[in-house]
Amino acid sequence: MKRMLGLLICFIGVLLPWRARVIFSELLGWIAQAMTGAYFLLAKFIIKSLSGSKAGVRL
Amino acid sequence: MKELAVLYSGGTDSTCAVALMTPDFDRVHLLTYSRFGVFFADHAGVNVQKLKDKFGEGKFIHRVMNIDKLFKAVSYSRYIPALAAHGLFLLTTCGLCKLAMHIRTLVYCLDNNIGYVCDGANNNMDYASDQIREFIGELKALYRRFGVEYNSPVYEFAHPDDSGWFDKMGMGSLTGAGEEKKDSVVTTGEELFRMGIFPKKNMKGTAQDRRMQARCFQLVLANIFANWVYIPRYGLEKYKKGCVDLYKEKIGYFSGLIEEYSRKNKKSMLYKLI
Repeated sequence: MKRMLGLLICFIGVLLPWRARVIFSELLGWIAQAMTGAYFLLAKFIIKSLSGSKAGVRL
Repeated sequence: MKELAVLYSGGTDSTCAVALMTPDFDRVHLLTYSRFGVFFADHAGVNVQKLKDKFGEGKFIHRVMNIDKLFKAVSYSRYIPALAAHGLFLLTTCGLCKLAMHIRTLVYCLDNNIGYVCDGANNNMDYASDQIREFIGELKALYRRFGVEYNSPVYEFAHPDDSGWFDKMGMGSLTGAGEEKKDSVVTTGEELFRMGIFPKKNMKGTAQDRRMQARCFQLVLANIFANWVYIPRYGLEKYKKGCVDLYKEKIGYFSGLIEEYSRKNKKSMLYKLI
């Protein structure tokens, strides 16, 4: 699945003229940046919540 | 006068390369390149000032040069035959961009009679097409052909081991990062810290780091090709070989153009690209 998606993105990229390819890469970069940011914040939130609950929750 | 030209991004590695090489030279030309898709090239000036404070104001000449036409020519010259021969390797933009920078640097050296070149290439990113050892070797041969000596003084330096995900989330102790570090393994950041140029041992990935060098997202497309498409199926070594084969062909073609430039100067084809 990942490989197929990668191939699709690469085939589009390789057909583009240079400025369009730069813009296409920039767009992919911002998507990756947003996903990385969301993943990072989520992971940080989970860790914070777990460390908070460790002290407060009684089973 | 002994002069050195440096491909200077303003980042930790190229700043360390400059700091290590400067004592041996009378004048150092710091060459920062910009093009469409590379933002904030002027950020490199932040560390130029730190270098001037350390080594003296008159020692450095900093230039920001545009390589739009040259980058386009390197990436798209004889495109259809190249596509047939190298396929999706044409998407390895970082290596092609670095090649355009080196061609421009070589032309700068020829124009200004500079005999030495260095950069901040480092071997710690295996799939980074512009840092492959064999590619560096090909670049050395290209410079040698025109009487210029090129080297990468920080190529063997270590990568900071406290810049991963766990460290950014304040959980570095879980990975044991830096706990069993050998004395001989030094990072470029540590070297700059030791010299008193950087305030911290590791600036990579920090907000401060982003404010001292250019930003470029085109590595994303190259990384998708490398990490999603090619390397999982064929392996890293074959990927590196594919990149180097493409760059070798480009170097051969542009070597001819540089030769023509050194003979015809303003009447050459390369002159129109720089």
